[in-house]
Amino acid sequence: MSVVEANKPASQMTHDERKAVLFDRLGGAEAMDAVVDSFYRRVLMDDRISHFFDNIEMEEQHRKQKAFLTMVTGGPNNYSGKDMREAHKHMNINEMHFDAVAENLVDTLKEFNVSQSDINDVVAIAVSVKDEVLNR
Amino acid sequence: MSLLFNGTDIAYNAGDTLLEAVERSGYMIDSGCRSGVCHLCLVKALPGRAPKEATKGLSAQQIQDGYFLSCQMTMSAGTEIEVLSGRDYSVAPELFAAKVVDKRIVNDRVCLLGLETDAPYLPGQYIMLEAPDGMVRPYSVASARPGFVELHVGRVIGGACSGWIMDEVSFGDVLFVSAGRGDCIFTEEMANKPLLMVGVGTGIAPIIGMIRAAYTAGHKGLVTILHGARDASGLYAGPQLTELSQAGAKVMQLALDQGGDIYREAVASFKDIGDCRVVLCGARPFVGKMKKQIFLAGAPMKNIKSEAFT
Repeated sequence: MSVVEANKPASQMTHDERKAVLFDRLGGAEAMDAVVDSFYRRVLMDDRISHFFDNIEMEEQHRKQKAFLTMVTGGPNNYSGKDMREAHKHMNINEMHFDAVAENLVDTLKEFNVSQSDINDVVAIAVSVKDEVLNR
Repeated sequence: MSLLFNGTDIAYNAGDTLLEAVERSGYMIDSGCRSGVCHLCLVKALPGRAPKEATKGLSAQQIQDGYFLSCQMTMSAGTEIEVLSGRDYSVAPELFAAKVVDKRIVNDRVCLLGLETDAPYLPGQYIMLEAPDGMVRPYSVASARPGFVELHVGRVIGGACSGWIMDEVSFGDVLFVSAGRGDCIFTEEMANKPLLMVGVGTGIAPIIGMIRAAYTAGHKGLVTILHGARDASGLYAGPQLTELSQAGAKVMQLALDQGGDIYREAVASFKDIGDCRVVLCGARPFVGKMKKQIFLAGAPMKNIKSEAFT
């Protein structure tokens, strides 16, 4: 990805180009830690879903969320549908839980001044794995 | 071509990742992102034999023990490796002789042991000590100089090892200890930064070791140390903490039965200091609860280190 492409106005990028650069525009893997911190704090404070995230192994939880945020912002990932399904199968996740996570994701991105069109792209990626996450 | 997975010979194609090769043969390794971030696919090779390209993001202790990410290792024609999957590995460490040169019984619950030994360690680590039953148990090290290990031992009611140490071990005895283990150490990254060190019970021991090392290295950042215990008799480290406050550290000793609330004090201290490096040591429930509160108070996860005792 060249510097020229990365600095194109969002309206001139293809859908794929926009998706591919958000992770990099946020600052890549280095900058992800701060984004993950924010998202993680939000879900810990959200009673609808905190029980999914509130366990003693915080570093492990942080890593899983970093992998998730990397994926939805177009960063490197190779999740298989089977992995997503297996990972969430036993958690009894419903629509409300999924929506609550998406809501916190959007709030986090807004905190980092991500544009609405980028946010829409991120939500689209999250929604693309909804069936696997809800095991349906 | 040789891949031994949990004792079974697995065929593979050059270019497969280790994870793919195992899965192709019908076996399973937990996995997630398959791109080196989530660490679900962690496997263990022999100590010191983790392929370097597959250890990005792992701690120094993990790498030393042979852990690596199976999604990040690419198999080639000449690969020879033996790996285990799963998470519960007991470490059978190399042991070093350690002569008891000092023993101080502080009260019926805490004893300090001074050992002369070649066992290498970094301040903040713990060593494994061999007990009469042949098992090894971890004890935190409060010292910071080569050749000498200072252990702070808390009595575990009904414990096979702590009782023996407190009641039977004597000056001149030769014990057996491992090299230091653990990632809760004073690093370059912490040098001259403000530090918030919080320990409960004998969890103050590794903190004492780390701050001794920090001051020896000329640390200039503000150091705040909080020691918590159920009651005053658990606040056994007065002399060592005084030594550190004379070197410039701010020290608070908090007894729960006198209204001391280490969680509240730690969060308040963090809010005062802001961008500091935080170290938490002690019993697992304490560390878990404290880590959450400090994180929610605004500490970046990467600035928090901890050692949780089981």
